[in-house]
Amino acid sequence: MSAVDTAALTNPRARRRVLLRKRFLRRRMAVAGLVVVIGFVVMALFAPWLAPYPPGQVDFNSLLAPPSREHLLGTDALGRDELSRLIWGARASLQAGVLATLLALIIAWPIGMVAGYYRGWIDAVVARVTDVLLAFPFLILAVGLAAIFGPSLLNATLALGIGAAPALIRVARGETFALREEDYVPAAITNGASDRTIIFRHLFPNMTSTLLVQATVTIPAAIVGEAVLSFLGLGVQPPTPSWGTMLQDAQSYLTQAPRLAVFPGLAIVLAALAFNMLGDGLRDIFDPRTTR
Amino acid sequence: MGGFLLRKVGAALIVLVLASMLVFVGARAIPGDPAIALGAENRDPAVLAAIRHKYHLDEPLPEQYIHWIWLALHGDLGVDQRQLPVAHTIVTRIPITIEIALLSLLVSVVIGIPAGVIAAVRRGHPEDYFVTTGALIGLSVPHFWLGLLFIIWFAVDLHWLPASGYVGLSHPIANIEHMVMPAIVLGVGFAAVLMRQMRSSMLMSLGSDYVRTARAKGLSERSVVWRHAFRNSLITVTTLLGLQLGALISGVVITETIFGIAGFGRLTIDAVNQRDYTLIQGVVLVTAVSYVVINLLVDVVYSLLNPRIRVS
Repeated sequence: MSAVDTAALTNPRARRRVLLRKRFLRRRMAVAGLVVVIGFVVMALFAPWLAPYPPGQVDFNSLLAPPSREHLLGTDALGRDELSRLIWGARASLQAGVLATLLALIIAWPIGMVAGYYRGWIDAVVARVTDVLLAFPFLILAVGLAAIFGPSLLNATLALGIGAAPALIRVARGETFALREEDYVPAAITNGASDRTIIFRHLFPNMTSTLLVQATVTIPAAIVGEAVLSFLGLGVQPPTPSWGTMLQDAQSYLTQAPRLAVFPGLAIVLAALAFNMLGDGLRDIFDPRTTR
Repeated sequence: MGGFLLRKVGAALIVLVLASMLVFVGARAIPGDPAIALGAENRDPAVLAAIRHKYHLDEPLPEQYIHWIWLALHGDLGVDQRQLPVAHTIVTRIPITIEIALLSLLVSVVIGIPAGVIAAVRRGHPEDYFVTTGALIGLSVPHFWLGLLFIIWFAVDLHWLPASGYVGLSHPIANIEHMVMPAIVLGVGFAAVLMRQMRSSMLMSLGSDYVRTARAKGLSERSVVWRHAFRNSLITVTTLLGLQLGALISGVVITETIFGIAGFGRLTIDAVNQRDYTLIQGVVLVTAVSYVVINLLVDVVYSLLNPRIRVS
């Protein structure tokens, strides 16, 4: 046995990491999800090198052309290469999905933790405010923001982030509520730890797995949300390619070129499915109760 | 029970007041002078001043808010750009949207609940994998894309169903023909959510002490599953319906847009596209109010089903 392995077995944190990795690798669905997610990230990051054509390049000689060797997925009504636009579209989707989720977590986690830790009137106020925010479905919120600030990818991302926050506040609050009862909290208080120390040093590290799981289930919802908003004209504005705007364009050519409506949708489904599979897997490995 | 109801209603009222303030402030945050919009081409300062006075735009914001909410409570949400009363427009559009929402809920319950029970009872068997995989896909497929695919398949290719539009209930067959696709498109996503919830709470119930006791008593497996585990699981699923309402409202907006149905959801999108601020304000207010009221109803039903909640 090498020195590294011995260290891994004696250090509890490292041992847990090894255990989690082992559990994760046993879940084929979760691993497949992770591989596809990485694939989409690579696609978005390296779009300029991967896409065969620039996304806005118009070819008037091949409008609505069927798939061919030059255009593997054919062209749209303006003669733009469908595959290239699909690859570039991954940028808008992932950007909105990841940033909206980050925003939601940054808003929700501190609020939820403070409410769950202090309880009392702070908790009551937070509960009412989340109720108020929940009264506005994310689409209505996005509609409102689009009306105030004008439609754009940034505003769509803001709307999605704010829209996802109330549910996450509830999760963070509930989790803090439960963790507060653990023995190490009174132990820390006896040792003279301040509230801040307890929240940041003791409670927060114990919530990272919940945080990670919530992030992986919020991202696919935000990806679909971005597509919806762009489809309705409230998100990404043309000519910037996004899966949602591509579907909006395709709506006018359902009879001539139904494939234009099929490919961007498949991309959305694949991305959302991959994140959902990853999220389900993570939830299973962190929560031993659901482990078979 | 009375105290519980009173507390719930009180909380809902507070939420409603805060939500209406948010709507009001939000509408005022929209760039542009409403007086100029209402005055159409006329930029004469005297005319604009008269308009401001007529619509109370020259008053301080709190007074404007009170004036607006007072009229709203009396069913007056103002007039839109075409000088039509907003409240009337909303009232004519809402029944269409309620029909879509109810039909899609029906679809989701009919698919989601039995599927969840089967998956839980046959855990680890092929049926379970089939159902859970289906639910995962159902969760990941956006409604609007499914809608486009349905139009391509069933309307364009097969000519089975009309691609878009709405026919009133006075022509029941035509009405159902137009509703089949929207209801299924919207219902499938919720079926997935319901199924997952049903499966996990069924698994929880099936592993609990009272089910073990029921089995030990020698009850038949069917009785254990349906009379004991299923009934208790249904309680958790009811609350989920309330929480999913926001998603349902968002879903209806999209579904109506795709299938060209002039319901409340379509009205929302049109209001934004036309930048009709009175209409936006009215639509958003009605959405928030119905959300809060329906959630209150769900809470009450839930407490009737589960007496323990009332105490805590």
